[in-house]
Amino acid sequence: MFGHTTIGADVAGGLSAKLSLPLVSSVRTLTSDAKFISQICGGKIMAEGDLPSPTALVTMVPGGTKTEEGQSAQSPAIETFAAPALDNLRVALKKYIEPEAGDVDIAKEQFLVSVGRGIQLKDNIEMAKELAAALGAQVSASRPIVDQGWLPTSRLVGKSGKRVKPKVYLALGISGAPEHVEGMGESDTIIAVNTDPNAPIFNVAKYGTTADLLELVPALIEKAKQAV
Amino acid sequence: MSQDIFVVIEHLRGGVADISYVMLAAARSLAQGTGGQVVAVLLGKDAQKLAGDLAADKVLYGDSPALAEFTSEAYQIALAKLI
Repeated sequence: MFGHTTIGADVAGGLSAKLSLPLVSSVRTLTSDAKFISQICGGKIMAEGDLPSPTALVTMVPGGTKTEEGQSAQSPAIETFAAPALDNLRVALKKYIEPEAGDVDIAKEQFLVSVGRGIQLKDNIEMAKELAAALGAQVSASRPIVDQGWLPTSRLVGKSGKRVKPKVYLALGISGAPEHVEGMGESDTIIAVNTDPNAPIFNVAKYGTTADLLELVPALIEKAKQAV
Repeated sequence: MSQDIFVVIEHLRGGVADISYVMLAAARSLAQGTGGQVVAVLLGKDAQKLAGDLAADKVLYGDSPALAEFTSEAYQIALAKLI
């Protein structure tokens, strides 16, 4: 039995393939007569079935039982087994990446200036920050920018980042991949700036322009400053 | 033996993840039917202390420097040996 988590699903899936064992995923409840109730389609459907026997792998989602029920004041007996030789592993942990503590919560912001690959250079991030400051907005980003380390993970919008819903979302040089749109598609007003007229971001944008953001942003900063 | 429920304890940076306790509780209800034991499987490096509050009949503990931090590969190799 594994957690239906990044760790558990990774290990259980691999073991299932390696040992040709059945894997029942996203299980919420197990009964004493070996029936399971599994949450599928992101929890929209509950599937019921019998656990395959004699050996099956299961990944569990939280909700079926309480954590306290799995805790005990009494320490269980510990039996040590010899771990097999674990040499020549192909994967090793290099470092933990911590989310920036104390940074703004972009999910709560009403106005985001969001940058994507189209910003081209790290130095150009400053331009976006300047525009955000002039507009009273915060800076957020799509995946490539965070992967480059140009902005911290706390600023990431999308499937693997934050889900945001500001009044205004200004997308600068963001193509609008489904993973990104999942995190910002419900914003009230989306304004897209992208030189590629076929970029999917224009499908969700209310306003859009194919102007080059590197020319547009300095002009916008000027206008914003004049307006104050 | 085949009726025992093995629960792989998930832990990260010195703390047991809540999902581990959720699983132990679920394993308990399943074990009531099978008549087997709830066996917590803990992998790590000098991590025995994490077993302290697990509601299991027994903890199987595997220790190795390669298990100090989670990697899917090391876990799979170690667990394949137990199944």
